[in-house]
Amino acid sequence: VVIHRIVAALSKIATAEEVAETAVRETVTAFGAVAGALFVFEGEAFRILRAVGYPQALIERWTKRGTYEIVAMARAGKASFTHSRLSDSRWDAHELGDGAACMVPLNAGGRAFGIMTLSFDHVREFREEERETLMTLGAHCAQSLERALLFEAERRALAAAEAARRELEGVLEQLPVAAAVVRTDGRIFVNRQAAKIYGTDIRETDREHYPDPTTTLKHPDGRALVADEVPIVRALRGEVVSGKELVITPSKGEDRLVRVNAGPVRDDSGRIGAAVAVFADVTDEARMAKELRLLLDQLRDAVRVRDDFLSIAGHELRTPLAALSAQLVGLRVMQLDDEARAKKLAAAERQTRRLKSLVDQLLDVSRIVDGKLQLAREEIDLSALVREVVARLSEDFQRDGTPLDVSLSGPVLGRWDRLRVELVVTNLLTNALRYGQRRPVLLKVTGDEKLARVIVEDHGLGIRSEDQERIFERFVRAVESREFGGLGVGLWLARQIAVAHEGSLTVESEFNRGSRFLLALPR
Amino acid sequence: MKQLLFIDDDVDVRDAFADLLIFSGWEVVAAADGLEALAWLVEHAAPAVILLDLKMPRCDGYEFRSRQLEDPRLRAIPTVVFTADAQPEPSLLRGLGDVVLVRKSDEFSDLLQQIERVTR
Repeated sequence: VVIHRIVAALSKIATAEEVAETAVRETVTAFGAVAGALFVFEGEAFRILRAVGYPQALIERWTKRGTYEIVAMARAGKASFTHSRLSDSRWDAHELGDGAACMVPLNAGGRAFGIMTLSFDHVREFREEERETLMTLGAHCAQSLERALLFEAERRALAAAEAARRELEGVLEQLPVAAAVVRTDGRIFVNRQAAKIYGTDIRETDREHYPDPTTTLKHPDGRALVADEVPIVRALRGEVVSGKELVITPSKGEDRLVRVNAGPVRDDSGRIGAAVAVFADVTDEARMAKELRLLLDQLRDAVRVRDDFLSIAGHELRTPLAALSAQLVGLRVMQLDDEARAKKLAAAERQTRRLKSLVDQLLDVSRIVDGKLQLAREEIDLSALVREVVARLSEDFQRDGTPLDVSLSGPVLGRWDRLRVELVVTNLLTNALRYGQRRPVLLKVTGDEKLARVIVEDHGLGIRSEDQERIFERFVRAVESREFGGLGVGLWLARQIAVAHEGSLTVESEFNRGSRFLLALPR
Repeated sequence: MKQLLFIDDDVDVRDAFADLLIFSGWEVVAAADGLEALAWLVEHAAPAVILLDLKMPRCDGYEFRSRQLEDPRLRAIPTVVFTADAQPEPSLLRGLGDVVLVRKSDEFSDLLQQIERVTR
């Protein structure tokens, strides 16, 4: 009965101290002893787990001295009993006076863990069944103790692991990059930065409760990721992943481009216990690099366009200059009659006008680019102005064989910049001549109380619809510049001038059917 | 009188230089582009020299030149390229074959000298 009660009590106990406490208390009470103690062996020495009824000085002496013959016997698994301590020199407890004593080994699995000792205040004999009971109690006590010690070792290991985990997570938490740890038991930890990228509040969970990485991750080219490609999965298999770029689709917000490093975490035995993935959000970096590349391309284009323009401008200026120069040579060296001389002078003047117009355009281009174009407005009859431009260009039309049909309806008055409007009309007519394929060109001037309009219509090359806005850009033309002369700024300049007048210049065109330009100027 | 085929789309340049070339003793035939020139060449005997602008609509100097070189009858006609470009693109120039290059900004006497040199 005594054994059953004590064994039942011991079986519920988890710590070695509690085992000792219960065993000593219950045994002392059950046997009517005055003192009892439980020791565990620690190498050559022993440690007192629990002692009741012994003076402190006695316990200290035991601990200090360490070696006793009866303790050595207990180590060997043998119990010691005495009816009278004072009559048996092996016992050291004279502070308690005379009385019986016993010492039983705590044996479990063929190994002695420690000893339990009882001291009585009276002399007595130990009956055989009492000795057996004490030995059995010692064995049970040893089992409980062994279990408790194992538990403790395990608890300590767990606590150490937990501390290591907290330390790792604490470090990860402070990293300036996103990090995630996945353990082989399925537990997941993500640090603050990683949670931010994923757009979730989930920090610690297990894999079943975490978004499937094959749905949240994809390759930068948009291809889906299969499970085996997920960096942390590869790391759990023992691979080291370095600098892998992936796109994360967060639970909210835009996709993020991340650069991932991942690797396994091994224990002392080399077994993989976890994998760590560290990923840096490089979305902005990538975007910036792309923008820089784009900017660089644009700059290169701009430089190329400028170089092309300079080369074209040079060509355009040299052509009339060459003609002018040749006419002057002719005037100097050839014997000419009055009529021929007049013809040559007129030709020279025409080249001078061509040059002047080109120089004016070039100057206006740089003025407009600098934002310094200033209109010199004066009262003008648009019909008269158009008539003058036509008179100047009619010879070019005649020589080219392009019919020009002019339709004017009386004076159309307004306050405009004469030279600039002349330039617009000249450019529109020159274009019609250049791209009109010698088919008739129609020029019409109309006006109502609000707007004055100039319409120039040809039936030539026309402009593809995708080019119809581009032709108003600077240095752009819808055809190869090698084949057609001009600065490539005429329409851009014409529109800038129209806009400076708060008017507009638009085009309607059909490819291979011709173009119709409409200049509208507020009156 | 030796015949010169002058191919240039700019009527002012054509007129001005044709006058001077005629004055210098040449018979000048003018064409506004490569196509006109090729059409004329089909129907007439080969001229002594061709004066060729590069930048022209429809059929430019480069294309005319490659067609000229393909035609055994025209291949040997000495050709002076007459351009307003300061620095024609080297890659394009290579396609022109064996020609003499004169810039429109050069003196007329230089042009005349080159024409006479290639026809000597």
